[in-house]
This record gives sequence, C-alpha cells and structure tokens, in this order.
Amino acid sequence: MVLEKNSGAQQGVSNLLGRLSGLRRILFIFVLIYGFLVAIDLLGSSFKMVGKDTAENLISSLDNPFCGLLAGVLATVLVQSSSVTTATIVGLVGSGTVPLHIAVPMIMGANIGTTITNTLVSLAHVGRKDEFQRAFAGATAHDFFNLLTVALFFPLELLTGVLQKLAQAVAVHVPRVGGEYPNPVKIAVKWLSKHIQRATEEILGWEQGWLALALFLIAIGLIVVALYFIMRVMRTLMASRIEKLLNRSLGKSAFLGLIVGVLITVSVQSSSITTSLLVPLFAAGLLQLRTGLPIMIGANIGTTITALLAAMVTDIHGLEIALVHLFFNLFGTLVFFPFERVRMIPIWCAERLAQLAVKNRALVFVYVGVVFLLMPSLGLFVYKMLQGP
Amino acid sequence: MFSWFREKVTGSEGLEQMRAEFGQMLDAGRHVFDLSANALLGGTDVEVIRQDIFDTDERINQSERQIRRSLVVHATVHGSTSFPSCLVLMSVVKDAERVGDYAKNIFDLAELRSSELDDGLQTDLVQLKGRISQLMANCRMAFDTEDADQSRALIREAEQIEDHCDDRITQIIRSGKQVDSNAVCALSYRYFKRTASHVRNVLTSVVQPIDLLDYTDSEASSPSPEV
Repeated sequence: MVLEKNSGAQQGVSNLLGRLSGLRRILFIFVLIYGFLVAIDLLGSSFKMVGKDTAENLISSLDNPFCGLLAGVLATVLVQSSSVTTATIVGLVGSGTVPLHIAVPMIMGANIGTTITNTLVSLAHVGRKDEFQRAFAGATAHDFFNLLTVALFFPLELLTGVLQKLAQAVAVHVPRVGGEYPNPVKIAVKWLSKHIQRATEEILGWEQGWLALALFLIAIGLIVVALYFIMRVMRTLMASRIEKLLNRSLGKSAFLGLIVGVLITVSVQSSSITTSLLVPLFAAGLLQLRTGLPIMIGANIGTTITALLAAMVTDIHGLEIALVHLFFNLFGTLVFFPFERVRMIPIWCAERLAQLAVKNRALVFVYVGVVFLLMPSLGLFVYKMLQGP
Repeated sequence: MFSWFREKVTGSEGLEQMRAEFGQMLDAGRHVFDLSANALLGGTDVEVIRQDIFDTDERINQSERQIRRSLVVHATVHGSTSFPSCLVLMSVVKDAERVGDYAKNIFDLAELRSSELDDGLQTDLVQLKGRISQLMANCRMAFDTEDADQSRALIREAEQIEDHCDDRITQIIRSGKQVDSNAVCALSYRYFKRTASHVRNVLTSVVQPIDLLDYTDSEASSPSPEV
C-alpha cells in the first residue's frame, strides 16, 4: 500500500535524476543536505525567539519520561519517519530548548513509532492468508525488537542515566571544528538561516511570538521536505545497489544481514524504507524471520546517521542526543543480536501474534492501537499515579 | 566508489543480470535438447550423457528459482516501473524450464526405445532436430538483441515446425500400422513440437505485449506495419 503510493513519486524523482549529469546529482544531494541543516538551525532559532516562559512551559509539559516517550511515539507515527523526529529532537536539544534527559525518552519513542510503517505495509497482503501471516510476522518482529529494547533500556536509563552519561563522556572527545577555528558548515548554514529569519520578519511583520511560530513551521516543513527528497533521491540512485545487497543477504548469515541493514539505511537515510522493502520479501517467503530480523536491527543502527548529521550544526548537546540515539540502538543490538536464543524472542513473539492475527484480522488494529497509543498512555497514567499529587 | 552517481537512473543492473541468467538457461536448454535428441536419433550411448542431462536440467531449474527470487527483490526495490519487464521474465523463464523438461522426456524415449525407427521418419526427425536446435540458438540472439524482425521470422519458423510435427503425428496414427517404433516416433514429434512451442513463447516476448505473451496471432508473425 505504502510502497504503491510511493512509486509515482519515485518515477518523478527518477525522471528528474535522469536529466541530471553526475556532478549535478552530487550538487543536488548537497543542496538537499544543506537545506536540511538550515532547517535544523532555523528550528533552534525559532525556539530561542519564543522566550523563556514558553520554552519552560514546553519543557514542563514534557518533563515526564513517559510523556516524552509518548511524544516520540506519536510524532513519529504522525510523520511516518523517525529521521524527522530525531532530527527535530537534535535541533531542540542543540539549541538548548529541551534538556538532554527529557529528550532521551523521546528518542526511544521515535524508535517504537517508526515500526508502524512496515506494519501498515504488511496490511497490503491481508487478502492472502499465508502471505499475510509471513508479512505481518516479519513486520512485527521489528516492533517486538524495538519494544523489548525500550522495555530494557527505558527503566535502566531512568534509574542510572547510563545512555546520557556515556553520550556526554564521548561527545567531549569528538573532534569538532569550532573554538578558534570557525566551522565552515555552520557559517554557511547560519548565513542562510539568518536570511530566512530576516525575510520572514520583513514579509510577515508579526510580533516575536507569532514570528517564532512561523519560523518553527517553516523549519519543520523544510526538515520534512529535505528529508523526503534526500530519501527519494538516494533510494532512486541506490536502487541497483540495494537490490544487489538484498539479493546477497537472502538466506545468508545474520551478521551479513546486519551489515546490509546498516548500509541500505545509511544510504537512504530511512529505516522505514529498509524495513518496508523487506515486508514483500517476507510475504513471498523469500526472506525468513531469522535472516530478516538482523537486517531490521541493522536498519536501527543505520538510521542514527540522520541525527548525527543534524548534530553538525548544533552545539555539543545536539551531538550528545545524537550519540544517545546511536548508543541506544547499539546496546539493543548487543543485547539481542549476538545470541541466537535471545534473538529468537522477538521472532517468537511476532510469529505467535501473526498466527492470532490470521485467525482474527481485527486483532491487527487492536495491536496497532495498543502498542502505538494505549501502552504509552497507560505508562503515563501509572507513572502519574505513582508520583502522587 | 561513487559510480552510482554517474549511472543511468532508469537502467537496472539487476534486470540485466537476470536476463543474462535467462540467456544461460536457453543455452543449457539447447545443450540438453541436442544431447537427448542425439541419443534418440544418433545412437549416442545414454549412459555417457545421463549425468550431463540431469545436472544441466538441475542447473536450469536452479536458475529458474534464482530468477524468480531476484524478480521479487527487483520489483520490491524498483516498484511499478519495472513490473512489465518482471512479468515478461516470470513468464518466459517457465518456458525455458519446460524446454529442459522435454529434453529429459526425449532422453527417456531414447532409453526406452527397443526397435529401430522407420527410416523415413528417422531422417525427418534428424532434420527437424537440426532446425529446432538452430531455432533455439537464434532465439537466444533475438532475445538478447530484442530484434523484433528476427523474432517474427523465428516465430514463423517455429510455427512451421509445430505444424510439421502435427502432420506427422496424424500421419502415424492414421497409417494403421502396428509397429512398436510408431509410438516412439509419435512421442518424439510431440516432444519436438512442445520444445519448438516453448521457444516460440520466448520469442513472443520480444514482439507481443504482455497480455498476448505465448499467443501467435497473425499480427505477431506479420512484418511490422509501415509508418
């Protein structure tokens, strides 16, 4: 369903790229990345404009880990892209609007929210029983993997703050151009960002608060558009490579699958694209859960590249949250990937759920509602109850 | 390293690889057909070629499965733009596989045959074998180059072979002679006809739209209209 919807856009991008020569294609990609970085900077600037009170209000509404988790899930479900959510979070943390400890659950929520895309893609096979069972099991194996990772690291992070501490410790050692040496990327990004701010101010002539809202909407729009085109363009350019990688990984070792997942996702900047590509292969019976799940785990790691890219134009806190995203996915991989018995847990859960879903298709919608809406909300309720008045 | 920036966006390496693999299937089909027909008509010892026949047929079957897998991956990655090419390959790959199966049937006949064939029919079958083998070789070229005119000519040749086989089968049945070799001859003509027919199906993919694949109406074999 989603893939079919995309094919028209894909054709348009193919036609556009077909008209561009090699060097122009590279320039086109750089323009898109530049636009994305400008949007991240603009987002930070818009929050700096709203004033301390509004920012504090926003933080206080999110100053609850379950609330952050829910916000991460919902935002990602709505935009169908964890890259957009994580890049926005990096922009907010990097501008100093949202503190690191509040952003960590949001990042975890984005990991859960992103799995809805391939679950929806699997519904395209609902008409054929066996096919649907395989497709749904394949899609939800990723859901279960991410849910289990969050179930493990979310309480651990609340208790110890291990991801934050590690990210902070590593971030200070990452060489960043700055200080006495100017960061040319940041300068170029700031230049356009300032011009957009000034132009918006002159054209709209609104007061500070409304202007900040307008800039925020422009920034979000620009992030969505830039990432959308980066994904489409890269997917079109990399199609043959992706095809080759998938052909090579079918029925091969789990480790190769992991690497293939990382490579495809880094090249298309979207874990949803990678995992959605696998669903028809699961449905056709070409890909088994044992070999397919490692590709999805690889996609989790690969998708962290977008947040790291966004951190190029933020301060050190932006890099810290991008590293939290990376470490969270790396640790999840380290826990579930190396031992086959542990790796089989999400697979077992997905297979059982798919068996039930085939018997009663309504269960699919119950599952989506429970996992992506009810569970985070229930968690929030329980947390509030335990917290007391 | 960055060659993908320079590549044609519309072109597809994956599809080319599948076409190349399909070409090898056609070559292998011709190889097993020649071997089996030589065993049936030329007296080649069946034991000498048995392993080769079965190994090649297995290779053809593996290629069919590999191409099917690759087609699903290709269609998944490239989306609807690649569907026509994928559907054509999905259809013709079955024909190439059937050629291998009929070659095995001909080999079985060679093994079971107990008496000499009728001289006239034997000579006719030898000639027919040569024509079918040549048809297969030319089919490979026409498919690779997507030469529509050559394909139309080959479709006509395949149809003539099929008609000839039908005529011979009718002739054998109506002759009323109770000769053991007649059953072998009739089956040989039948298998030769089916082999030519599957090669023709492959050729229709060069000249026919998808819905008319395997069909040879008059339009398919007539020369392209003048514009």
